[in-house]
Amino acid sequence: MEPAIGYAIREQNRPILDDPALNAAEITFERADDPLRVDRYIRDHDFDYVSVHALKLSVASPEPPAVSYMEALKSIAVENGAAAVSDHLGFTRDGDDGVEIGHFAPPPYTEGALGCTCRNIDVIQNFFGETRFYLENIACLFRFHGTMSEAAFLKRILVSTGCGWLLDVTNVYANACNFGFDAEEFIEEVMPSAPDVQMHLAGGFFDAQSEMYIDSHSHPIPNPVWDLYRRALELSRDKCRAVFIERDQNFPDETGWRQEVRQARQIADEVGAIA
Amino acid sequence: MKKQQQTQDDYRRQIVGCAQALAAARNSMVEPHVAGLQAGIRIAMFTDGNRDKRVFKLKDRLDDLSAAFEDFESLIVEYISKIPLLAYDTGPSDSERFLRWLPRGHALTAEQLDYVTCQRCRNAVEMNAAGNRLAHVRFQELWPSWRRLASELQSSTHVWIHLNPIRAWGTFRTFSLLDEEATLPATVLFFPVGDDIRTAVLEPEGRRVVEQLRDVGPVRFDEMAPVVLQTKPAQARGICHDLAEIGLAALG
Repeated sequence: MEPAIGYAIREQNRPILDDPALNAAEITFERADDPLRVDRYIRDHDFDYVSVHALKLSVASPEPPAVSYMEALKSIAVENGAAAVSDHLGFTRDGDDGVEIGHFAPPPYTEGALGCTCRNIDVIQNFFGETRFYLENIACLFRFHGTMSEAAFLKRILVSTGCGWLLDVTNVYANACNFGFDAEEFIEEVMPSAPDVQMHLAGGFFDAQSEMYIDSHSHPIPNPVWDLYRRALELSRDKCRAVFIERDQNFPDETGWRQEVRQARQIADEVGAIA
Repeated sequence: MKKQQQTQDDYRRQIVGCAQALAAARNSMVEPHVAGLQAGIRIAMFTDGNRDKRVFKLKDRLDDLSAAFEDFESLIVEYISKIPLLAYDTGPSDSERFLRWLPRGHALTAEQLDYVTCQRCRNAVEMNAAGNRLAHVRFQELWPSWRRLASELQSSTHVWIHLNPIRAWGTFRTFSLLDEEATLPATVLFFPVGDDIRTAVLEPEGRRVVEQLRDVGPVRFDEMAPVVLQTKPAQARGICHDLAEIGLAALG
């Protein structure tokens, strides 16, 4: 079955959300959580698949997320008919009453982190019930000392909790560039452990000063990421439920918005036809 | 089991320490935990990026205040260097903490204090709506039919008057945000209309009407006119029309 394909909704891409190539939408929770908003976030669109993407579940924190935050997330999911919620494999705070870092940091890949993360995901899945939870691999600027690889850590979480994998193809590409591993091998290693999959696609840039690929969501999706996406679809077979393109800066014109989602659709069509 | 608990306790200590250090950009405390080359540079890229993002968000949210301060961004940078972001800080909460912090450490002019009051009232409207979302949505769905029902006030006395449930009061002491016709100090009511926030400068009589409507809850026009407004139906119709027109009341 072909995945549903769409954009992470931004005000700038709302005019093309009726493109025939697009039948899914991702809601970034922090954008939708506007207390004065009256209409539902996806307005009157009727997508085949909607997912709510969160930033502050902080699944790798020592404490589970606050119920009040999950309730707010759930209300947006229910209001918009979402089939899934997702967040990142990282931590953004110390504890519930503590401080917020501002952006998620990767956990150290250790047994201690694994135990806390799996427990937190169990709490999240119990709370959301039939609304499926997907865990996203993140792009990171640094990594903590650990006792296992990121792929091994992620596989053990997926197997232990049964949650879905939000495979951010660009994040794998960025980490491969910045930490020197083979992106395709990473996806090949993790994919068999994922019960089902969503995917993210985005474009960043290579920063010459730091010699790092920065996942800034500010550029068109680069060709190596399109190639990885094709390979990931081949590997995921019928496990991929949805693909979302993210863009947060340097927004394209209408043609640009339509072109990327159509390319994502075309590749999915081609992979489906071969399968 | 005991070993597993010990492992998780160790992890808790590590993450609490690293998260607090990253939140305050105390990068050297994180560096020993980080693998690979250029650890210091990479951690600095991370904390610098987080600081820049927080500055951007605060500037964006507090854009109206920048007109009242000579170097507003430096105040935001100072605040960020002293006060870390709190867990789950979102929407107006960080800007509200900034606005509480600002007058404590800086001598503000009366004009600047009015700008602070204005923004804090706007924040209060948002926080009030977040806590009473159902009431906010119900009112906003009801409000658009006010024009049709206002004309029915002529013939039917059984129209209900609903006060906008989301409100915040502020007092301005200068004309910096007011028309010159206003009387100082001016009591200003902030309330949402859709996803916009409107203001009304109310005279004591207007404030009394709003407060009485708040106390009685939704009320039928024929009951409200003599009790709340203490006026004749013709004048009461005019008051209801005005309240509904600005979005402070809905008719149902």
